[in-house]
Amino acid sequence: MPGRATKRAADADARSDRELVYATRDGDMRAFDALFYRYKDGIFRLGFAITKDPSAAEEIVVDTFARAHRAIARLEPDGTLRPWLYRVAVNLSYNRRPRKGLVMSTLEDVHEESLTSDDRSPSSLAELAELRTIVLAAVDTLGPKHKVVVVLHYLNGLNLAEIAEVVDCPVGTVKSRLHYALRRLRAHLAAHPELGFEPQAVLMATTGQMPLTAVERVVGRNNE
Amino acid sequence: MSALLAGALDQRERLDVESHASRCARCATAYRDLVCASVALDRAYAPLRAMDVAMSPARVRLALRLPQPIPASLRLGRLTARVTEVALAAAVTAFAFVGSATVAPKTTIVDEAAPDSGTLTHVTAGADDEYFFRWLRIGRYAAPSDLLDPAVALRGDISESPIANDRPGLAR
Repeated sequence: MPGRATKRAADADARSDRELVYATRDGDMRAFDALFYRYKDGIFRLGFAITKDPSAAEEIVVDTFARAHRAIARLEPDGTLRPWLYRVAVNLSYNRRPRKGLVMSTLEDVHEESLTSDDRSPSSLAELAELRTIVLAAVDTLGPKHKVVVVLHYLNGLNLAEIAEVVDCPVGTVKSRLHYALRRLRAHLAAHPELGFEPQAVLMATTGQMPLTAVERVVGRNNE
Repeated sequence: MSALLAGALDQRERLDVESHASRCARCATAYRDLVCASVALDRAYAPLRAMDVAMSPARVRLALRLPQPIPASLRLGRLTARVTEVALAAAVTAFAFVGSATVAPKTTIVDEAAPDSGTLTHVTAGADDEYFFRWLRIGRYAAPSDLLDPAVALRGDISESPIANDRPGLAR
């Protein structure tokens, strides 16, 4: 497992981003390595989700950290370096146009690889793969502004304030874009009832995660 | 709604939304739809979220043209290799000097006591092969008169010498 070693390396340095940035300024390259190991996966995923090219995503990771190192002297991370790095990565990803004639490996390929190691039944795996294909196709139909919000939130786990910092707009705008993207996606899912992504089923499945008792009551009443 | 789904609301705001949704069927339906899409997105991105990337910060240093740090273990290995290299060179040099100083040159053993039988006496004494080859070299590069025993040469022609008869072609 190549990822375990890097995770260990990242976890080994328990210093905050701010401390690591200051240590890097003093010439401690181990601090810079710790920052790299801490954020390389997220930046790679972001670059891969936007460019759909793993090689380009790797280059984006390298370019992002190279820029971070050049700008380390004037970087003032208040709490975390993550939004700054992601903003650079988003800009680099959108500046990188796909080369002509190059066959991109899609996100579905990654999903196919992960599905082969899953323990579920073939039919459920096939349904899951179909759902992912449809969902990601729907995400691809979104414009760059909406897509980046979706990717940052659902793939990289950034909260609304961090996304607002990354895309350099108010939090309200981020909420609006996310809302729009979800509505578009819901419309796509409605065209595929065979996937079983009916609202009631979803709410039942997510009851444990989100205590939405009032909403559930209303939804149940409406369904009756 | 999006803020609620994104987990950006605190407990009080969340309760407010829920209480409103319990009274408003339109908002409840909208929320229900958004939850569907949100869960679908969450599941679609799950495999990619679990993906690890095997990349080294050395690539960044290469891009920045920074010197690569050498780990302590590698530094020790390099030092050991260098010391071994120097020690080996010193040992070879010492062996060459000491060997040349202690090995004495071999003296040619000539059987002086042997009677003059008309043949080259030094061929019959000592290590035969060594003397033979030495004699052979002399035969090739020396003048023909040097090869012959003066006594034999005085008695007859070169063609009648025992060397010419015994080993034809060697004196050429």
